[in-house]
Amino acid sequence: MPHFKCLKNNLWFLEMLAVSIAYILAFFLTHYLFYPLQLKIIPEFESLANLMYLPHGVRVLAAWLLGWRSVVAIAPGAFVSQNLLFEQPIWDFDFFGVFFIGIVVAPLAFSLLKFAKFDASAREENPPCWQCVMVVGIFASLLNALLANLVLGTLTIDFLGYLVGDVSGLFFLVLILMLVFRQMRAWGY
Amino acid sequence: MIETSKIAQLRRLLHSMEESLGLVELSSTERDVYYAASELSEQDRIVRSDDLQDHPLINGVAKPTYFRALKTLVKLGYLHHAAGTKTGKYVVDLPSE
Repeated sequence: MPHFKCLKNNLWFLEMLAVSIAYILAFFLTHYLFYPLQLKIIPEFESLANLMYLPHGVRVLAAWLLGWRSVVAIAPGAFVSQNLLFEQPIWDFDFFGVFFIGIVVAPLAFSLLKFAKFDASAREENPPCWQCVMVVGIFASLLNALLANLVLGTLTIDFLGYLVGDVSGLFFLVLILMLVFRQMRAWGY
Repeated sequence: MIETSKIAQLRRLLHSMEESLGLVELSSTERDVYYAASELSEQDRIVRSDDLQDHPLINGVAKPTYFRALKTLVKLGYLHHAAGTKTGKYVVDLPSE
């Protein structure tokens, strides 16, 4: 079945393209719109953490839909975004630490919670539950913050900042998508 | 695009959020028509308006109200006309919750 195989390969590629573009867009919005706003509104919060980190929403939703396949789908987007942010060379330990933790943490959270009998992944037999996805998102954020603190030695204020940023980023991304889909419905799409 | 089922799953998730936030724009009759259509679509993808009107959920609904509900559901994207038809046959767009 060569045609079917070709289609399947294309789906993987299109998945990667869609998720990576979504990640880069979310990254740009976060770093070039929300973060400057955050610095203006609460300049006393002396942390590098964004208080609304939309890319976390992209990685959680991608992992919810694609499982471990999301690692491959998100990797190019995360790599490009991080290249724009960090000045370190790509072989730097911090660079790869942040990159690797970032792409793995969401599917890892889904898998660990599934192991603990809390399966929130997107399946036909699972009724949709956005609150369950938020719970996994919070757990993924805790894992992310914990691993970043352990591996990269980030500060406690960053730990809290990452947590708040990830959770609000996920919530607002789902909210933005909901409003976009509502508007599309109203336009007849 | 990504597999259609993935988009559908994402839409279902967002729909569940809309419901939780009380933003679902359907009246009770529209919701009943939609649920009846969803149920019938499990047997056959294309739902006939005649079968829909015979559904227990729709039985007591006046015809003008029923047709208005159908029209709203089509307008909001919950149903669409089956290919090659302008009335009488519908396809459910959002899987039922």
